[in-house]
Amino acid sequence: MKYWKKIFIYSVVLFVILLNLAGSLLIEKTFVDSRREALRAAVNKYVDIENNLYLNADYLIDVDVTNKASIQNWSDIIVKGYTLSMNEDSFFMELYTESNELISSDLNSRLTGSRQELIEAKPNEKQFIIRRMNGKRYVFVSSIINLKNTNFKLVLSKSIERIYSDRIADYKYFLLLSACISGILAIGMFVISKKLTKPIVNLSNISQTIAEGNYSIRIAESGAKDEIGVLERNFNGMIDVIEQNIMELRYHNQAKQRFIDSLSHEIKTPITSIIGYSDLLLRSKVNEETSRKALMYINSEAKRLEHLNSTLLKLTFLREQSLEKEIFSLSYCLEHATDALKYKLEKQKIELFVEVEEANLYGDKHQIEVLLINLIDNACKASKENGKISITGEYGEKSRGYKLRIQDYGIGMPMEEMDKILEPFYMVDKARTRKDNGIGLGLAICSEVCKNQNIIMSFTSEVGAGTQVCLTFSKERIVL
Amino acid sequence: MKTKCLIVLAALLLIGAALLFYRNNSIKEDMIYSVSLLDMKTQKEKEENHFISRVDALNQAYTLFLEGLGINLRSSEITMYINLYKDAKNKDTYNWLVSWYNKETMESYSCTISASEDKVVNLFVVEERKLLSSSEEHKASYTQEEVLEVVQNFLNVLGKEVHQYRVVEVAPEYDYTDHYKKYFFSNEQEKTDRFYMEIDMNQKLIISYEIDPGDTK
Repeated sequence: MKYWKKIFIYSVVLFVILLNLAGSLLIEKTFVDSRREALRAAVNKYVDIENNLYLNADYLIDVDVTNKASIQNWSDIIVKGYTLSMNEDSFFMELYTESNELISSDLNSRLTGSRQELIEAKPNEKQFIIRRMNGKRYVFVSSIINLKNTNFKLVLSKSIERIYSDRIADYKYFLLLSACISGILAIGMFVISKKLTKPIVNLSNISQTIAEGNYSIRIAESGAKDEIGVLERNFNGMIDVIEQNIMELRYHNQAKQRFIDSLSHEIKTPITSIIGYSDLLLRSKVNEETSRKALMYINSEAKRLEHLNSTLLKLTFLREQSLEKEIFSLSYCLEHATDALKYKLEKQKIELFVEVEEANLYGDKHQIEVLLINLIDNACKASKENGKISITGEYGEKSRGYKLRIQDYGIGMPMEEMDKILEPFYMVDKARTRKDNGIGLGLAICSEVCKNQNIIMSFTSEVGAGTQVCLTFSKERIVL
Repeated sequence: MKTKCLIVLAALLLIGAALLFYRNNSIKEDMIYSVSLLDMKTQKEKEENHFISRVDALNQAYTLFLEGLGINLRSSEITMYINLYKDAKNKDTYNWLVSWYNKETMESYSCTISASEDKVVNLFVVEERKLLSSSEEHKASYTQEEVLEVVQNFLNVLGKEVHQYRVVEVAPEYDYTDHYKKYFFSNEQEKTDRFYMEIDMNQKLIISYEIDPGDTK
């Protein structure tokens, strides 16, 4: 059963049960109270008549109480005269002798059937009974009264059918009212339960779509501040995180695949050359010049393999190496790096322009030197002969960090390549990189150093105009 | 399933409670019950009432007028009426109202006696008022002793001890044109015993006696 149907059915059924129960209890309570009041009124009236009889009993002085006719005459004066005035209240009174012979009555018709209230009447104890008479319910109050030492039976009756008919009328009215209210409630609860569960249904549908692999879909947030609103926001937030993680996983998978492909390629190429030239030397008789040329190729490709191996080891070493942190001068590191590349710079006749603010850094000096050497070397490789490389360094204004920029004016890189340049073996221009004995691990090493040293490395480049690498040292790394 | 069971259980409990309530409060047809079932607390008190009869009330009123006020109402010229009525404020109280009317002198007298409590509720003497003559000077106030001296005999007939009462004059509601004064009597030993009396202090005549309505139950 659907959730909205459960809410709808449970609430409507519970409401109908409770409403009808409460209504029935109320009607019964009203009925019981009304009947009790009617009974009390009858008893009070009885007491009132009884008192009047006692107070007027002195008129019996000259009356022969043993004579039925005399008593009837007296009762005509006292009882009938009195009860006539109460006909509006629908009370009726009967006076009987102790032997149940009727003396006086203002009832229109004689009562038939058992007169239990008359037979069981007791002195000094008033009793009442509810009986049906001519299809209507009457209350009878009775007791034995003593007038001038003679016992009489006094019976008072009153119709209480109105209370019973009111009760039936109340039930009819309540059933109609209950049906109307229940109908309105059912319509209301249908709309409310539908509306309340709509966001849950949406969430269910969206989660189903997401389970099928569509992570780009989001639930339309209602903006409500209730639990559903919070659930919608949290759900979308959760999907954002999942989507981001999946994208990262995909990227890392692709990067790993590219690494494996590149590594395989980088190893296979020199090995193929080595195998080819060694086969040539083994299988055929070649002249000395060809033999020498083949050995040179084998040597060159073996060295390339050795270089690849040592660079990969360096990369692995960087990832696992524990840092040897110390305070050092950035200028000193820069000077050391430019000295290491001095021969290359002079060979390419590249003008190096250095203008840096003095800064003392806290970190692994050797790794920073490796970083700078790689970046300046890359700038050299990208620059044309007689080119220019400028290195500037300054303190940032807002972050209070330190920014070191290495700018070349060489071939530059296309924008679409920028996100892959940090991957191992990735080369923007493979032919040129190989020509320079590059293996595409320089920037991967730089990236590892930056991660270790908490340095932000960013690139801006334009094809034909050059590339700028910006290293941002966080303020925690700067020793003032 | 658990929720459904709980709902059904709660509904059954409510219905059971309602049925129990109905059974306990039900008065069945064709069965005789004592009125004590109706929880009428005054019923026993009413049954124990001993009413003052018409004759006793009449004799009490005659005696009060004759011995208390010196007025003999047993005369052929005087017409007597007696009536039984229920107190408007207290429906359980019956009063005998006895009144007399003298056609010749146009004087009338009345006395109300509680049939339930055997006490005089009020008494009025309506005679021609003796207005102050121009030569008479209005006396502003009378001492308690002067007032008690006038009412002593009347109170004795009512069975009250004169010296137990504190008398306070009630501010008149009209301008003084006669010697009529209204006093409030309160029994210092019994707080519920309080009444008003109107007295013609010049003739030393009691005009009215009325128990404090607050005393009426």
